[in-house]
Amino acid sequence: MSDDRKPIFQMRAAAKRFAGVTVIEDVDLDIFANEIVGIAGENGAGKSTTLKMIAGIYSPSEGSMALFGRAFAPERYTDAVRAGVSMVFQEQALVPNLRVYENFFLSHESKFSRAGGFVDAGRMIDLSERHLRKLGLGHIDPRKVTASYEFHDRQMIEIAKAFVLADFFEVEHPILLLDEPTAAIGDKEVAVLFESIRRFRDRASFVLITHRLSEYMTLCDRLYVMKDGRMVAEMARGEFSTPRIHQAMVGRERDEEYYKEKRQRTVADSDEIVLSVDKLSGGHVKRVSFALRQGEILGIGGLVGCGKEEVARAVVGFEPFPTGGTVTIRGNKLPVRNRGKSCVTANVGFVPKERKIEGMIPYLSVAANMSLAALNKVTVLPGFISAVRESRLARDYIKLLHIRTTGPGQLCQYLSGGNQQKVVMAKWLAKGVDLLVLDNPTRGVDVGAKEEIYALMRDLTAKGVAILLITDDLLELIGLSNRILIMREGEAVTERPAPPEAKPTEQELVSFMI
Amino acid sequence: MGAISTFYQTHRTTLGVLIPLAFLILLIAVFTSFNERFLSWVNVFNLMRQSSILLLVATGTTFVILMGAIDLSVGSIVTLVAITAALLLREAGMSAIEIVAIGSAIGAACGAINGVLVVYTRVPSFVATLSTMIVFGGISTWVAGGANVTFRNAEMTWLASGKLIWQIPNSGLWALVIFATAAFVGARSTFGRALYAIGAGGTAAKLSGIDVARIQMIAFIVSGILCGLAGLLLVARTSTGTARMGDDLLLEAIAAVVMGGTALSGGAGGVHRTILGVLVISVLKNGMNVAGVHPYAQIGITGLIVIIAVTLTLDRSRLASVK
Repeated sequence: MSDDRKPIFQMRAAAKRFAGVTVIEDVDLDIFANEIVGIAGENGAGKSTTLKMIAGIYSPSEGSMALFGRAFAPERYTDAVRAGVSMVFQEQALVPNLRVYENFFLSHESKFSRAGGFVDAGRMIDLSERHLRKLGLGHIDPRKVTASYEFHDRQMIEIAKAFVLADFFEVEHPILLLDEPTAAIGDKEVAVLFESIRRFRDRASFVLITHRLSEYMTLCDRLYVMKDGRMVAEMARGEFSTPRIHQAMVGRERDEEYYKEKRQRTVADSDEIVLSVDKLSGGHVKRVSFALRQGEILGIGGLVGCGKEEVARAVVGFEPFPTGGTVTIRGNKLPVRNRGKSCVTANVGFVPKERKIEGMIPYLSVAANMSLAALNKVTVLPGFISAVRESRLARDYIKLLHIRTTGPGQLCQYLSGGNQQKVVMAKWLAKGVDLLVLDNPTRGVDVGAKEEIYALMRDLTAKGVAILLITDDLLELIGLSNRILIMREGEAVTERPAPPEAKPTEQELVSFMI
Repeated sequence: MGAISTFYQTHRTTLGVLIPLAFLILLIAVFTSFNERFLSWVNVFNLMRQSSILLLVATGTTFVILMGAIDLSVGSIVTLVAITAALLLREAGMSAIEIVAIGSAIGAACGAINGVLVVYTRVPSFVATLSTMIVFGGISTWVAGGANVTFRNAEMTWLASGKLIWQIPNSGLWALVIFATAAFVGARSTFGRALYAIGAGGTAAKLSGIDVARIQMIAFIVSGILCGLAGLLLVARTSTGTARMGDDLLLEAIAAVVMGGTALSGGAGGVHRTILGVLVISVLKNGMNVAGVHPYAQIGITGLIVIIAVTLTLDRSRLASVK
């Protein structure tokens, strides 16, 4: 972008290597005053690394940074905060059991000390209140415990913290780094967040990373696109569109084949019913019933909190789940006690939302994660694992699902989100499943891997696997499902077939959700 | 991040084995320079006899730590089994086989109590086993009436000090055979794999169909049985049951597990690695005897060396903050 103003932040020819492996290279980046800058790219493209270098969490292996016209070489995050750069972390960096004002000034309390080493809490609270009001966040009481606020309010608290500290360290124009701020909040909260960011921009600059390309379109003034650790494009507002961003990110045009709609299987009445849920109730789920046939994808949509996740939990036996009504797999009613184990035995696979906690075990190897549900398939003597068989199984699935890894022995924590998700899928393929329950399967997954996961889902349905898909991504819900169930406040409000030639529109589905 | 710590991160697995090994070689070199008989066969067999008990206890502890729990009652289970065995031998005149069966059963029962508390009543293992440590210790003192229980039994003496193969003391032989089996089970069995999975990610393990409760129960029971066997060897070696005779084993066992490279947070390390930690501690204690260090000074020195060794070997990469 040609601008006669001077950037307040500059990064020049920056590179970062970890143990000799180059993660990003030759990256130039400018941030101007009052600007919202986006950094787009697939997982592993180097967005987060770039952000962490600006925040002082990583120091560049090569290159230089300058902030407000001076050389900027923070050694740790607190150095960056003092200089006016704050990061809003994806997994929030607030201490939940502290009060809001205590979180604001955490580790800076000494600036408020009074005679005798006591902390002047009154002045901290006053200052906090003044800032919150100025930011239009008057509804947040700095004296309340942070955990008593909802996720999206805590996010606001974190943003407010950046302003409070910037003011405290006498920085006139702070830079806020937002790392996937919308990953865990619903559409309504996203709207509020964006509205606030726009409001705050006259006092700060923002750098945004998100997995939803549309958010770059709505929010950003300028967009950088990264691919394989390099900056491949820089676009000003008006120049970027979703297909263009997409093309720069993956190096190919996004086409209608994205959701593989032509491969959607036509389900016949003769196809066996794999799953039937009858009057499922409990928690705030009210009498939800549906059936799912082999080779079919049933999508459940609805706002966050509508109860669709509870339905998934009941089907796979992930405690706590609604216990009223019945869940039947191939004619066998699932028990309430130990349902999780019965489900695995009944060939039900589950790809959960919280991949790193529920889906896979980051500290175990790729091979150990893949064999976790199918240990009996890699044993020689009963109860003893054969390293050869396990490694062969892992190699097969690494190849089949194009998982990018150094090999079966690599720890899963070092894989990108998309590849981790493929490992979770491989775990269930190795076990062999009749029904696969997917809860937001492409959350935090890059565009390329997303498409591969969609293709895999079509492959599975072609083999007769039934898929129950729970997703917050409307386009995904529409594109993939044979049938769509919309839930609102615990009830199933509509069920609509979605054949490839007559897919519902987003507006149509949204009208049922709210 | 300095070059040294980067190097450390990259080669952490190799270093995890090399550091305790280097430490062990250093200790051996130092003690040999004090007294050249340190590496004589006589002393090596002596070392085996002394380390056998710790090896059994530490092996059991590794199973529990691997799944992210802790068993603080190990020392008191050793004492309880030792004293009960001594009493039965003195009062009831039972045979060695009966004693071994009863001792293992008591160990298993103690482990099962720990397991039930942790798995079914959901008391954190730290609190549960801290309490049972006091309970088991209290029972031992009570049944023994606070006095030493001495017995004479040739079979028991043979069990610990006899020589089935060549000059190898039996206690060392049993400990090595059990350790080798346990190491194999830990590394290659589905049970061992389940322990790692639970330690590294309990929710994912459960959702993958692993029977978490059952595996946890088994781990505590195995730990109890191995402590029971250790108690039998301990009492067989000395022919006397004493209150608190197993207390030192708790810290030594945990230190040995950590030095071997098993993460206290669970999910990483392995039973096979624990033997290195056991050797470091045993060589240290034996060496100080051979070098003629005053017995009262030995206690403090052991504690000091354990701290140094753990500081060097503890895997901190998985501890978000050290608590």
